[in-house]
Amino acid sequence: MKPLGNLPSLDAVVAELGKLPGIGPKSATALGYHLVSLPTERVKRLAQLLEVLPDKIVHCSVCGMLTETDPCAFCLSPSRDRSIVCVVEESLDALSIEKSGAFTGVFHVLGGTLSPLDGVGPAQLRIKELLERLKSDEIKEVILATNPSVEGEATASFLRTLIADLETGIELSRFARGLPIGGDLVYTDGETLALAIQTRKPMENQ
Amino acid sequence: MRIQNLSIQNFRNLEEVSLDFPDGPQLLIGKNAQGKTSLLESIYFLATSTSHRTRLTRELIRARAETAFIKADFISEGIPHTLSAGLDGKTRRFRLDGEVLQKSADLYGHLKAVFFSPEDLEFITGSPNVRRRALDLGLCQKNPRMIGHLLDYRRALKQRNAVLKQNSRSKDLGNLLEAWEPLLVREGAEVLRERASYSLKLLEGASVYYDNLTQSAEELKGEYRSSGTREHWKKLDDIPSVNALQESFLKNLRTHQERDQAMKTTTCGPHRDDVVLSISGASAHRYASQGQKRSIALSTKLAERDLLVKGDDNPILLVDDVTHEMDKNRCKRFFQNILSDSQVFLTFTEKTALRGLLDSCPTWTVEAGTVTPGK
Ligand SMILES: [Zn+2]
Repeated sequence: MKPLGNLPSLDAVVAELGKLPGIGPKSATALGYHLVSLPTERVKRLAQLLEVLPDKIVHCSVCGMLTETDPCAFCLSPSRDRSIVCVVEESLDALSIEKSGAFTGVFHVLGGTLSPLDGVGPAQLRIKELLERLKSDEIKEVILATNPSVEGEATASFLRTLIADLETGIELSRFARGLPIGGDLVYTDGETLALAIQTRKPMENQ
Repeated sequence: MRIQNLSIQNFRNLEEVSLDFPDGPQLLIGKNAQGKTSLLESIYFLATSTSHRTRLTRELIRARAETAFIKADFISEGIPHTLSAGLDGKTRRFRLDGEVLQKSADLYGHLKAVFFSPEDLEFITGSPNVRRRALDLGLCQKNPRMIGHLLDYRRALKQRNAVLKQNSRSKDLGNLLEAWEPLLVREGAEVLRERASYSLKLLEGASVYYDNLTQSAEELKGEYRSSGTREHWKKLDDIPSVNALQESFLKNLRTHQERDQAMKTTTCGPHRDDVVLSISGASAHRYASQGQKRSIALSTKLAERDLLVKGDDNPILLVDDVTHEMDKNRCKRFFQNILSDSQVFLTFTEKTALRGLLDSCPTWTVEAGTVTPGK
């Protein structure tokens, strides 16, 4: 990022904005100048909101979902079907599935996928917590709803082995490959997602 | 397939070029390092997002320039299209008829091109990865859906190799390695089956051209050696079904798991495959003369051209200075094979090399990064 001249405070903000995903140097600069042009109260309000954000939002101690109350609303709700757990990469994936309206069970958010290239192994994901959860008798089926990407597939395959080793008789299923290949759950429309949930297939044991 | 107009800004050593191509083979005349090859490279880059000279985006941009741009108006299967590439130091952005192509997989198959280069000799003399790269570029142009399979295979392979490098003592090691197997095996078998079929068809075609070019009793043959299944295939019928390939590849991955751990890399799979060429039974890699190697390279490229033909639509031929080492008769037979194609670009260092054969073709002079009509 090139310094803008004699505005070091603005340069620092632009540099931070530029680190956000999807924001290139040009948009970062434009956003920075836009912030400066806003009424003081609006900028201060944004700053206050950002400041408390990390303290307000936590991961649910049961399912790993982002929440402001722990346990989260999904885990507390009496109307959710606790016999079926849908395992997803991120909270946003869970929200997409929830919006499709075709799923009434509970979620488990891994917090990513296996990616040894990026130093992400089982210890960096909420896998131990998942296996603990599965030891309860309540759970009859687990949907491995990681994305149909290389890493998502490998993570599902890894979990399948670990869950089979538990010998709990839990049924494992995965969305049929009707989802766009390499597509992200977050970008899949609700109708397609609902269909994927309804037509999920038992994972064969290899 | 025919390019009607080509515009280039700051690509390689070309500064500003805008050309309308009349019908017929296009002759590009110029001394070395003036930009002839760059012009052919720009067209091949629109077809494949690669250059045979460099992998670095930065090196595709002219020195002291920040961005490069290429645009071609072309006719494919009777329909006019515009394909463009914009490059800055880090990214490449392609547009087809104005729409941004999101994935490199979306680029393949629109503008098809075959590049004849002096470096093609490496297909015979080079290492297996040179041959695999050449085969994959042809395969992906012929069958664009293969680029996705290749990328997924490479990604899964890199991840498995990362496990092998990091977790030598982890108790989960077996499970962590096996997590990548379903993908490796599924994508690997797909790549293997398609690449092997493509290779054997290519070699079969090359053999016929070799006959025609050399007019000799020598016979060019070849086979595909699959590392993932430990098998060699000489003809299409030899290649097992995708299911059989998956089974055999998985078995070999498991068998070699300990060796992979010791070597900290995946030692079997389509990323280790090779094609082996022979002339009248003797290894071409070891025993072929320079002239024989040149003829094999040309024959292989002519066969690639044939495989990329779709209906009446021929790929564009980019012929870079390949004839100066060939005797007159081989040259003549080579030109007879290509000059009636939809569109051929030929580079020469001087006009004397052409003699009669190409006298009536549109000619361009390439000098210091600029291209002007006639000479
Ligand atoms: Zn929860």
